[in-house]
Amino acid sequence: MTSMRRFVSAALATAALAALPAEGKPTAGPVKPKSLSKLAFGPDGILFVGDSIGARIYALDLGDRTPVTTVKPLEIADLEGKLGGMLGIDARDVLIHDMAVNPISKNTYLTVSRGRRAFFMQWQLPNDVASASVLLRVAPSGEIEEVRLENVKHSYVDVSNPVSETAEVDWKKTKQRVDVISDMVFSDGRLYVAGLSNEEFSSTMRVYPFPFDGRASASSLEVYHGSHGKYETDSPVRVFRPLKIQGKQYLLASYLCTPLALFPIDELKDKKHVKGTTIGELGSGNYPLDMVAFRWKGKDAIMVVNSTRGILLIHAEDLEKPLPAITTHIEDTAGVPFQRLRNRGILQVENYGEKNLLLLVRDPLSGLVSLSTLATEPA
Amino acid sequence: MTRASALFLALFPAAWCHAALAFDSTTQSVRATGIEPQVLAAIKEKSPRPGELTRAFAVYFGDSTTPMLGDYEVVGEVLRFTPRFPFVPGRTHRAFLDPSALAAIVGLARPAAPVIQRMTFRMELLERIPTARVKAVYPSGEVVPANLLRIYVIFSHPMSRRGIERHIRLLDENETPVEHPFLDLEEPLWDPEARRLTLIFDPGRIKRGLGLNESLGPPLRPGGRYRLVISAEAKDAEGIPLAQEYSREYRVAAADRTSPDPRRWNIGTPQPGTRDALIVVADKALDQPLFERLLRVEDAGGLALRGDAAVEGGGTRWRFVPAQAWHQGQYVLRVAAELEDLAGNRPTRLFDEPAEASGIRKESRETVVPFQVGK
Repeated sequence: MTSMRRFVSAALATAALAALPAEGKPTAGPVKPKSLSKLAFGPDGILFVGDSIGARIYALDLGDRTPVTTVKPLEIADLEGKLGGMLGIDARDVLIHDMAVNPISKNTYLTVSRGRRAFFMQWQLPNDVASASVLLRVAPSGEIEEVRLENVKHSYVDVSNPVSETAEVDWKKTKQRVDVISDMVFSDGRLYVAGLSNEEFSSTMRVYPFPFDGRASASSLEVYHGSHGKYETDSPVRVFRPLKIQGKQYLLASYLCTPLALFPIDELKDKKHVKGTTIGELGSGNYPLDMVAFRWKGKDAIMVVNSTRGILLIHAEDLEKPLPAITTHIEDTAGVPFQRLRNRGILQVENYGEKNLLLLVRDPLSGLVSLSTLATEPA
Repeated sequence: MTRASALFLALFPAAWCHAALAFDSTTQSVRATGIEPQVLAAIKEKSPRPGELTRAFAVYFGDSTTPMLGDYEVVGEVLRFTPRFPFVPGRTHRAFLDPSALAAIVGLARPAAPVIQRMTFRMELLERIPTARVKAVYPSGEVVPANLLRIYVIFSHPMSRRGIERHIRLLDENETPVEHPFLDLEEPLWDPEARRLTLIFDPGRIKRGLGLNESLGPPLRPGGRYRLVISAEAKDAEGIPLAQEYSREYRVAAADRTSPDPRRWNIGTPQPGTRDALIVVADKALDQPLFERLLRVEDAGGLALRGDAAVEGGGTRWRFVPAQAWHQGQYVLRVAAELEDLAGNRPTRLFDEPAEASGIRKESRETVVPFQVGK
């Protein structure tokens, strides 16, 4: 970059900061998101709330930072029944949109709506059929209460160039707007936000240093999708995690139908088009619903929870070996080795301390939803 | 506790017995009355969390044992509970009030003989007044080509997704229903909110040279008059019929087998420095939802402008109000390849474009029209 260009971009950055008085700075007051689309925890008990419809990301300081170090098993049976009571509807109508666990206090946060009855076809995700408007906190004791947003210490950042409110997904005719923020992860001082922009290649990874200071970058993403035999730039990343391989930082991301790709973090520069390496195909006809990194029987592993393809375990040591790069059409699955476990109806998974996972599960036989811990390492 | 109120309690210990619960249908709330004024004042002052108050005053949905979320508010001599979401009509709700526990929550003495109040209530399923209606039908112009491809029906409320086809008829000038004018689909084509219904004329009857086109002829006859009727029996998402029947007439012109040509469109350019609307006048009436959605304005840097687009003039005019003011300089209007006129003809491909000698169909392409704002 020449010094002139550096000067211009510095001047532009300053101008951008000056134009956004309310953004970035923490204030106490009401928070009025249009949709509680996605949750992620940041440093020091900060809860990030992604609002896709409002194209805004809130950082809520709920004062939730009292450490809980001894993790006790948590088991809430028929969670939807309880939430139905709270929302004044049948369990059949309760829709849980997202879940996040505060790593400090082990409080679990859920976003919910009355919208489940609005599902009418196979490919809809919760945010396609309703906008969550209620934030709930589940204490380690199992007690559930609403987190009121009338007066909360918070800061926020607006998502630039969000996909428009009218754009539809060609094949399923749902609104693309609900995926302005399709997943969020905080890592190493930065909030990574996957989603859709209104650019030609709409799949985007945005990076916001936190505390928000007006800086942001947005890179368009491209992957080769082996089971569809084509390059994709419009399908949003559904789930992702940061990951270190051979000492280098990557984002491991998965998409609908289910390519698994690596994006080097150092390539995520503003306005850059970044091509990922497709290292696996986990099978078509499937949404990856959640991804978590954890210790399993003494080794590092990554779990991908799928809508139809079961649970996939990828051993971190397999990612240290020479990795495949899928660039041609494949049938069914290919690439990095994975172990397939039966999915007994897991919808979401989060770390719950270092030796437990918290699972949101819909039992395939009873249809009831439970929230329960699963020990992955000896206590 | 002041001496006066202590005296009050000593003299009238039975005052607690007047505590009562009532459902107030006008404010959609539950009212607790007869609560000691001191307790009300303390609630107002300390505003305990709703989660705490539910131990003394709670409302439940059906047979749930988890209290409903909601707001508690002291209004005059009443403690009012308003649920976070409206009560579901036709379903039983329960409420309980424990005045003694209420006093304890705000740190006041419990009375000697607490009387717990209980109530069940149900908001009647109102004789639901039909309110849904047809808001618009596209094409919105009076004249349509004989090879019209789609009709869109826009409803004011979400509709029931099933069975709408039974309530839609197309009548000719003798009030005789046209037989099977629309493509028979297993699932009617609703948008995700079930407000917009797309009716597609059977392409087999429109495309030249196909069997149905030759045997039955096109559904619309040039020179004819037709009436589209949507019966009031059509049901909204809650099963309530429409407020009234809808009907509108179309006159049918000759089949249209020409492409819309964006390069011939008239672009009324706004003044720099304003947020005046950009008005694009097409060379013919276009498919309205596609017209609204498939045009994009970009600045010289190739950045798409944000703003609100609307179609008017019977599907012939596109009106775009940008979110930010226009700059002097070059812009482009990008017209997506999928744009169609009323007969499904695209700018670079007719709806029933014959295959070329090679057997390959012509590809449709985006059209880019440059225009200048200011000098």
